[in-house]
Amino acid sequence: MKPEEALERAQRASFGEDLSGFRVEPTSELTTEKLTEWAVIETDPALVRSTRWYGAPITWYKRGLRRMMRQELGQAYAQQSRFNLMVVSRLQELESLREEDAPPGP
Amino acid sequence: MKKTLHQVLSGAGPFDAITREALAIRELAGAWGWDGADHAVHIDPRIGGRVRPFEQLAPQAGDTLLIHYSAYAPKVASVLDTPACKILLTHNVTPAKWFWEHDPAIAVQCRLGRDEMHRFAPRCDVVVGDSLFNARELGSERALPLVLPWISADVPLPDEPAAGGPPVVLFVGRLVPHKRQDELIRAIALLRRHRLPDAQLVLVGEPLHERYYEALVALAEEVAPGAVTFERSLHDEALAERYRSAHAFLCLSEHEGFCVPLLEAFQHGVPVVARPRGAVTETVGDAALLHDGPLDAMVELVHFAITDAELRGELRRRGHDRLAAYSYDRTSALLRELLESG
Repeated sequence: MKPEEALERAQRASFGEDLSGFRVEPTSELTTEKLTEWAVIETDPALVRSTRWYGAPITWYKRGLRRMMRQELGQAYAQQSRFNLMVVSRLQELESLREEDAPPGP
Repeated sequence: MKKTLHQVLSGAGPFDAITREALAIRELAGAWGWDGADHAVHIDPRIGGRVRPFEQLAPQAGDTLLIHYSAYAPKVASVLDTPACKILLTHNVTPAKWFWEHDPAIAVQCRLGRDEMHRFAPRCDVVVGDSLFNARELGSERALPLVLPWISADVPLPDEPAAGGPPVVLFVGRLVPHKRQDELIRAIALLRRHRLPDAQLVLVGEPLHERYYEALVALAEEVAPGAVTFERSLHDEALAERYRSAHAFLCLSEHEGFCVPLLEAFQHGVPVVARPRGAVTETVGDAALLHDGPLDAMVELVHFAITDAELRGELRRRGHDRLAAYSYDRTSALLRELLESG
């Protein structure tokens, strides 16, 4: 068949299946729920790595260092998360005020 | 007078198409008798001494500076104050929305990079994109396709893959959210369930990070167990072998500034099915089956491209013809014209 015919015929295909599992979703709109989720800092130890040629020992060293520093890092994350959450709360308050001040609809 | 061309990259890596283009341009400049060197802010150790640290760049008046823009690199802004002739070559920066969820650091870089490239443009003497799609984002109508030495229109159309094996669908590109390998995995699952039960998917590309790679592997095991092969860090010959073994190339990417693998598929005679996003439409011309509809239709197109001999032949022929627009001879001539006029 010709490419044009293939395009026309393919549009009729319908398998009626919606496969589950991991699916990429772009973050097109930021909701308060999403901001709240992101406000709490939680790093993933699996992502600590070295990209160098002989990186395995460096990765091992970095992960060890991270474990040793966990108390200090935990404090820093907590303080930053506190600030982030307060900013999100303030945003929510401002949004509520704006909604209250909005003129009534028709 | 001897001309001096310097190139600036935000990052240089061994499997990165922009780095490979920069190295090809350096070879051409050397053949033309021009001086200069290539510099990057971030250099993968595997590059060796071929690219120098950005700090060593000191362009003079009369020099030409080719700035490859593909990622946020605040240090690079300092070259805008130098007296050299500055040509901004934009390779596009992926919208941050694809990375916020999976890699916030990259998302921040994308967000800043997309803002920054708009500030760079008015401060450069010439603005050009490696596709019109990219050029137009910065208000330019000038395109210089990627200069890729391995793309040639003079080689004969390769043979079809040997008969007898399972149908192989290929995609080549980093395992990153906007390239939609998750959709490719779902597509192969549907293809196997409804059309070609032994079809295989080969995904070649470096992952964003191991966590993202593991998510894709888990999805593959869930919906298409045993049907998906992941490969990375392939050198030229091994990559060429993957193309030669493929029966169709499926690109479901949501954002492409150029998409070199589409041309590589044409070069190896592989029929292409793709979503018309970003520069894809412009890169493939009429040589691919482009469809913007649901996944089912894309799967059906792959099925047709694999099983219909007339369609395969036509797509292979159109793909081969399309290479003339991107052949090394043509792009290197366009490059020289740009650099000499700049």
